[in-house]
Amino acid sequence: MNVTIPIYEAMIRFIHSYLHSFSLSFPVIAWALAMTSLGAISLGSFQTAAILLAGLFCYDIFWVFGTDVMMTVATKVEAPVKFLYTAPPPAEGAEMREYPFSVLGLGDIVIPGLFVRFMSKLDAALQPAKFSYFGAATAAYAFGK
Amino acid sequence: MVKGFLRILCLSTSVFSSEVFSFAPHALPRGPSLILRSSAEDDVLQNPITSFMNNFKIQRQPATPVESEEERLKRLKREELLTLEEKEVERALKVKEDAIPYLLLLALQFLPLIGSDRIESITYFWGVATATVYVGGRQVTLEESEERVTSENALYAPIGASVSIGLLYVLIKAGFNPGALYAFGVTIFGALAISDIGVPLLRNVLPNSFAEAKVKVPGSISKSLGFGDEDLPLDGLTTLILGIGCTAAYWAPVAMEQKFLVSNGK
Repeated sequence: MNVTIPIYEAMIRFIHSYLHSFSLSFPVIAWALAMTSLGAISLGSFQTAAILLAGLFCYDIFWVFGTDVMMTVATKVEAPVKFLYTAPPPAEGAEMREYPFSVLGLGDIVIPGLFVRFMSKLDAALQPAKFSYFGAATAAYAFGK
Repeated sequence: MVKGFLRILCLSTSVFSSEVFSFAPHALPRGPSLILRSSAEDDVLQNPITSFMNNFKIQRQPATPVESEEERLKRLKREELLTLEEKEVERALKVKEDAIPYLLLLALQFLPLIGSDRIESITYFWGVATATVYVGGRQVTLEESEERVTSENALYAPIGASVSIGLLYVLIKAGFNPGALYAFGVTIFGALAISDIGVPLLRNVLPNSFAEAKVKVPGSISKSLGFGDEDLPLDGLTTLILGIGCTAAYWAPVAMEQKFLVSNGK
């Protein structure tokens, strides 16, 4: 069985995918920015975290579902502040997508991430014997995502 | 009688010196200083009157070499670099501890090989987001002081974010796309972020000699990067070059063409 052709096809698809999603540098820059933001910003207290998350929850719902503002800005402003994944091809007969990527903004990672990091510091300070606040927060984020 | 008097004197001296006038010698100023003895044992062995007088004896501390301002700054810089190196070692250990999520992040970048259906895109976003939050939440940072968000700032954050996004929207609708300017600023920060985040990652991938190696560069470059007269660490320099490389790749003609096509909806 000749495996050369599938490997070759996979390589082509991989290269094409990254050329099409603005090269591999795009996710690398976005990821580095997310990591640096998580390390540089600290939530002072649980109260601050609750206010920030609740406020940005309302902000997100309003601008994403209430208006076309978020969608327009996210698709028109091209900068490595989001993760992209090539969107699935449209179904037969359906219109071509105007923006050919699925998008995940850095805010969806950094804002909850700040809370998770705060929980990690809480673990270090309180040293709970049985329960990890960080573990619970990460699990809640993973489940809720 | 004399013996009794001396005994009382001796006793009073020891109480006097140990309880009432027990100064910490290091708290006294340099140079000639008044040293009050606190050891009762010495007092008993010596003549009690001599011992009492010794409590007020002026002693000269041994002269310590005085360092110049330049030497002091160099010493402080060395100490700072040493602390930085300790933190870097700690960061590299944390990355090693979290090797699996980091490898998962790397593996997810190859997911487009499998396909671009809904399930793959969901897996990609879920994996990237969760792994980043996990490693980001546990990471060790070089800076001790972080930008602390206050409750007041948190309260105004949605308003500030709304004003920013509203302004961008108005500009786009008016025909001015600030995307290039915004992307330029973001990629500059991105290059710096890669140079910072990349160090512990490279230290785990490359041999130890890489972490210890130094690169001789002209003094002006070294000073401008805050390293004084020291040689630059190879790992930091490599990640900085990687960061600049990623920024250059982002702005490369191929990528620009793709951005052009996408932003025009073609």
